[in-house]
Amino acid sequence: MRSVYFNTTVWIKTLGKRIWSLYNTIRTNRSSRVIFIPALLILPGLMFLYAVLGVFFTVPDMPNKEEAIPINRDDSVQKKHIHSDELNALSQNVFHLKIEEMFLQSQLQLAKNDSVTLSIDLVDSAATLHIRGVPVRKCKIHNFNVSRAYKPLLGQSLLIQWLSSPFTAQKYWGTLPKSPIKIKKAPKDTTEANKLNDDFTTVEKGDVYYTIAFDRSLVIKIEQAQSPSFFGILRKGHYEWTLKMHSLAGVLNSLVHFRFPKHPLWIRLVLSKEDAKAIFRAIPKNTALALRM
Amino acid sequence: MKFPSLLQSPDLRKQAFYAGSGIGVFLTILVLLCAPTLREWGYAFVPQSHNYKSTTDQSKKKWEKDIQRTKGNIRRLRQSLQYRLPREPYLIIDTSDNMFILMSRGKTLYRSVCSTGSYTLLKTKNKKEKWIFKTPRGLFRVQNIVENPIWRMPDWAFIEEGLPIPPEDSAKRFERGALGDYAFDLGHGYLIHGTLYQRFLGMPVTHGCVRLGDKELQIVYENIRVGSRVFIY
Repeated sequence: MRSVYFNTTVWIKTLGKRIWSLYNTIRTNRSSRVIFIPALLILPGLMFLYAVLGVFFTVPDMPNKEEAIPINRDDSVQKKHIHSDELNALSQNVFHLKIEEMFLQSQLQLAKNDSVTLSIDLVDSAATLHIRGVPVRKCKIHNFNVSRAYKPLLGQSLLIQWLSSPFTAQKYWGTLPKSPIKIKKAPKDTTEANKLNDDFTTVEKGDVYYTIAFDRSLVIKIEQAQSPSFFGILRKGHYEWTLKMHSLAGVLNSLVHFRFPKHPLWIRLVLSKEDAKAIFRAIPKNTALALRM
Repeated sequence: MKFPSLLQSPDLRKQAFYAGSGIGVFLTILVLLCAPTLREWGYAFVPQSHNYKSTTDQSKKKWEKDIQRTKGNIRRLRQSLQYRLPREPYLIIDTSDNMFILMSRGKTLYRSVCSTGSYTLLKTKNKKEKWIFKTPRGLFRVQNIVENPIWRMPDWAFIEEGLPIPPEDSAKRFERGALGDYAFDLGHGYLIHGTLYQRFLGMPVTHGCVRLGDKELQIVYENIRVGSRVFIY
């Protein structure tokens, strides 16, 4: 153990010395500097342009502008651009009413679904589980954050069109399993059976953090309002690392296919632990979501 | 010791290239990992556009007309959703918290604990047979109500207790009183019934049925009829 420690120390010292000598070389030798700086910056620079700035050249999975519902249908009058407060208020009112209309329409579409569906209303701070259009659990949203990627879409008819039909869940990541299945082997006799029954009569107490990726680039992150336990922090760290790896894999996949990566339009919701867990367990894997924001 | 030996190369330009590329690869991974956060910051500089702001006096009437029409649509849609609420009392069962709510026209009549499926996968020794004890989710209708039900124990009830499986028509298979005073049949072998194990109420311990306490079972019996809806999530 001591020799390993000793070797490591020597290794670090040697590396430090060499880095220092390299620094001095680059500082003093011009030709080394000319090679070092491009070698250092080219790859991360290109990746920054591609993975960070490239996103701004793409529009998330939204309908084309031509397909979007025009809010003001009179194109001839748009040229004059008169900005009166009253008219702005009217147009904003129309915008919010249209979003509400789309939300209710989506809910009606969800009502045709036999399975459990979810509706999230950020205006009323409520997440509701529905079965056949009947609300079965209304959960209060304690807090929420919305991605800045929505900023350029606010007030756009494109956003109304985006919200006009239900979203479909595609992937899940979480700190707890979707189905808490416990495997039990048949006991040999009644004594073993009694012991097994005691072991299997437990209530699950895990912390609740999960992410659901929907179609049209929507990502919903749900977190419990209560602070996590020690093991919960570890599990949360692992879950966040998994999400980061997934994001990295997405960027690399886009790179392989010569496409710009897409930035997810995420919404982070903070619910009570019980509500968050109930939603996670209740919704099926391909659940549908109606969203109002 | 590979990395330091690279830095020891006699050619200073080679040294600089290796060092630059190495740190560059590290920075690339860092950029890729931080890309979502960096993009979020980037969106802070993107201007917000309001294409709904441009209008004239001439279109004011159109806006108002649009508002009236949209409000009418919203009213109609709300009515359609309201119409979906059952008119007769119905049950909502929460398998996550092991709670049930007796409701009528969107109002809570009674709320208490129940027990639902344990999510246990029981496997026989030879692994030929297996059963999963979970409560199904969705909309169900009460198909039949039985007073003083008798439980006909299936094979898994004996396997789980480590007992030999009796023949199909054996008297050992029939147990009186285990299901409480009433049983509400939801179809496919799932029931809402009473229990002898009241201390387990509020815990996921059943084989897929929903267990209620004696008092709760009586209240449900007084309100729920054949055909009533049961929502399980």
